Amino acid sequence: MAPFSKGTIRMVSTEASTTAPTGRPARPSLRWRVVDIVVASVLGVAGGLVMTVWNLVYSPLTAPIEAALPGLQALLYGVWLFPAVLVALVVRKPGAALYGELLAAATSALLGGFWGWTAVQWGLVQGLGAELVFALLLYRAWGLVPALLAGLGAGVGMAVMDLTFYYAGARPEFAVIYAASAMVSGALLAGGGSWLLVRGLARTGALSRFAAGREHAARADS
Amino acid sequence: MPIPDARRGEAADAALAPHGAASLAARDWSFTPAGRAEPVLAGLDLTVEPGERVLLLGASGSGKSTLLQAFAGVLGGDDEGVRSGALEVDGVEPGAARGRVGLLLQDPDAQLVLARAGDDVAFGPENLGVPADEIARRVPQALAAVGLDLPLDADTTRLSGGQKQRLALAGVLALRPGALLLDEPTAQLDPAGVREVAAAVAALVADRSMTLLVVEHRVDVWAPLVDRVVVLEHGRVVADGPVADVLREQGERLAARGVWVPGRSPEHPAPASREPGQVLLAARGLAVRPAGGAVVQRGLDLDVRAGEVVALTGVNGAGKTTLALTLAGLLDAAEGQVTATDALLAVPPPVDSPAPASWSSRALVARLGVVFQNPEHQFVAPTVRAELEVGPRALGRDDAEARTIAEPLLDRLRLRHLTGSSPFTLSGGEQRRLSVATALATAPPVLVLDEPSFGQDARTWAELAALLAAHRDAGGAVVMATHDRELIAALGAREVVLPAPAPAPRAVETPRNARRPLVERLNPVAAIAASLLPALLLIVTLDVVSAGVALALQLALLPLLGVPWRLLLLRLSPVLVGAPLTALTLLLYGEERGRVYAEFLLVRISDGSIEVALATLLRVLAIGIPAIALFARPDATRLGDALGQNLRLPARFVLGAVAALRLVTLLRDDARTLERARRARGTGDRGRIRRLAGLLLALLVLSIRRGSALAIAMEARGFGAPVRRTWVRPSPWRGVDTAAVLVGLGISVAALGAALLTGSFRAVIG
Repeated sequence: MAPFSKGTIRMVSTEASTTAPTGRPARPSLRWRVVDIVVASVLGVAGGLVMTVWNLVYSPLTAPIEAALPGLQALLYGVWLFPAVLVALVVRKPGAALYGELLAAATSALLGGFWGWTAVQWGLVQGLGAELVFALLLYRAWGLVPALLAGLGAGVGMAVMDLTFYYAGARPEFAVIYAASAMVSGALLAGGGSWLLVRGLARTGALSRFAAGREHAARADS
Repeated sequence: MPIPDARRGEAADAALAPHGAASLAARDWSFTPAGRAEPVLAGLDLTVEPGERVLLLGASGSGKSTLLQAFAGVLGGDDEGVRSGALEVDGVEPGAARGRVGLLLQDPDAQLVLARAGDDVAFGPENLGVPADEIARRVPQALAAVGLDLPLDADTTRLSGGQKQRLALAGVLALRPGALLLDEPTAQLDPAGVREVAAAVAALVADRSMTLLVVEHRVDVWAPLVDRVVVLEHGRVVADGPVADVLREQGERLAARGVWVPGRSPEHPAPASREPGQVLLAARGLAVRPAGGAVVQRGLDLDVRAGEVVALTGVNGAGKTTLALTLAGLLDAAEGQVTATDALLAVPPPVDSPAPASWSSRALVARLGVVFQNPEHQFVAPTVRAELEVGPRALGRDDAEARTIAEPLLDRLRLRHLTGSSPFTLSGGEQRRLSVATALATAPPVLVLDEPSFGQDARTWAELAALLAAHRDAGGAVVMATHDRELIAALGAREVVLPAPAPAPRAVETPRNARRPLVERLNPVAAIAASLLPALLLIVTLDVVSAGVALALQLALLPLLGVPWRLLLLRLSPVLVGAPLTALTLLLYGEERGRVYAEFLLVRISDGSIEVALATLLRVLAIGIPAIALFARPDATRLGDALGQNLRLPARFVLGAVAALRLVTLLRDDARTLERARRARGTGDRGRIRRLAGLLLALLVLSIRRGSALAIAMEARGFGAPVRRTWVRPSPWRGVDTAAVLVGLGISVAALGAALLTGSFRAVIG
């Protein structure tokens, strides 16, 4: 189910890493360190907590939008997608988006979430949507645009799941509005929102063991 | 008590590690962390012989923690820093000596991995692939060795700080290390906890079966236990020798750098210049309780006067912090009242009631400055300067005025060089100074502090004492919850001793049923499969018959699970509400077929949409109910074991997730404290959304920091080692598990079959 090899995870980039004059490798390793795993897990679980709260409040919040134009309620559904982008932007490893979203979904299920373990299926597909984008970018690009695209990818995953499970019998107009709203929301809320959040976290120095945090420190110094 | 020698030399782990104490050596060793220009350790030379006991001293930032992490082999790869020279454990590089070195860190909460005590101790040897029966022997031995008498299934979140730290030490000992590296193991403990941990370590190293390298700035606690002191400065050894010699020659210099050198107390401020004045705050018949807890003290009468320091003391659990927070208006009184006198009420902005708990956040910050035990809880701004300006701004001061207040504080508290830094990036001492400065920024008459001197080095301690004395002498009042006898003496504080609380009634043990309900016996993987199978098969068709048959069969089988109906209803309530709502959407916007009953805007209620809505209602319930019911009693540890053993998911990720789940359960208390701190800082009146956003960011920062520390502790306990790990808790797959999966499959087949037979099958795709 996950692109991890069994047991130990080795995903060292195959290109020979050229060593910069400072003695630092030019390209960061794609291998998961322990701190990557633990912090990705912490963020995934925290994302699951946010999902759990969101599960309780989203329906009154989105009902007015739905009344205005059915399908448009998905514009706020990006909240369910942010763990995928957030975890990937922080740890920058293959599988991070999938792991983060899957774990968040599983956590919301463990906490007595709305949909029980079916949430995990959504987590899987949504996570894959974001993961695919980062994979297509060869796990090298982690800026705002990749974040927006990954959020959009997760939005596609959500639209596919919702429109086959919940709204299978809906009319095409509804489906089109719904899917478009889900993608926009994924890009802006999950993608853009996570990007902003990572910047805020980097500023506090909490990400000092991650490239995402060190880049910020380097910018602040110069 | 030393661990009996019988535990050594067993064949099982003979292959893992040679026995006996380990040697540690660094030769011309340097390390520069990624993103830093200066090395943390530069050309370090140090040799520690097997069985030697060494205390490592130095100012903060001198590289002590880095050295311990290097010896423990957890400094990370080339991504994380550049190193040169040689570093060896038993003559080999630390990565090759996994398990030979045990590392204990400062924060008890960032070291425990699993929810139950016995499981947590077993975590390290499991990672190193020690056979399960051997681990089963080691766990009770390790617990006994640190003097912990706990049931193996004790909940690790309920232990005291000293107990948690000893449990973490037991987890380290279960690795059977040859060297014990302790990184400020008692900095976050109260005096009782410090004694517990020091006594446990003393017993462990008494027979020299382990090498000891300890970093602490409390020399008095550790000097009796060690043979040798090494002093680091700017990443180099500047002194090395027997305890008495080094302290004699370097004592003054060390004390100046903040080390607590025995016989060299930090400077005490001058005694109070005048007698206490009028009463500012009075408590009468006060009973206090922590948020969501039971009353810990009642019948308290207390006056807080201008120009005096009141120290709230008492054993752990006596309610010192709770009382301090209640006096500060951050907790509601359970009985009785806290009232501000006219002198305090006269301070603007005006308030309606004399009870601080009823005041707005602005009114509070003008009268009562609060300093929390953990400074990170009270930071709300992106930079040090902005942090100082938060209080004044809350009181409506403009930019220029806020600046005028912040400027002198920056100099007075030696924070000038940090003006633009994030408060979270400061050292412990700097954070403490900043937290006091932010409380002083609004010039409140009363300062309330919770354990202000906890874990501080001698230099910060002296500065803190001077600040508090100055506040007292300027006619302010200080109330502090503390264990620190020296601080009480230095400030001439009036001590209010809280009596020890009555022991809490022991929770009634729920008798273990000989036969637990099915829902708790099922293998979690079987439960997942049994709940997901119907969902996956039902997706191919959308019709009333298949969904109805599936739902009917599930409801018929539900009682077999043995979930109490009350719990079941509670868990199911969201889906019972959500399913009709989803159906309503389809009723209005579902596909149009047959007769149309109503039509406006996009809405078309037709025969088709009614049928689709009904089918959807049944389908959502049929998918949701088993998925929720089968996990009505989730247990993260069991789930992790099953995912790792039965489903063979990568163990590192499964265990990382289980550890994170435990860590995040701490967030509820953090969230409460953060909310309270924001009220005390004057930002509690802000809009809900803004407050929530700030709270979320602060919670994430806290969790990432704990996660990063936990990662070091986990890696030091062999997590991530390229070894096939042992699982001490079996996760058996029984007949009942296979049966549950088959039942899930059977329900789906019956539902689909019924739909095909009745001709109502309606494919969703195509």
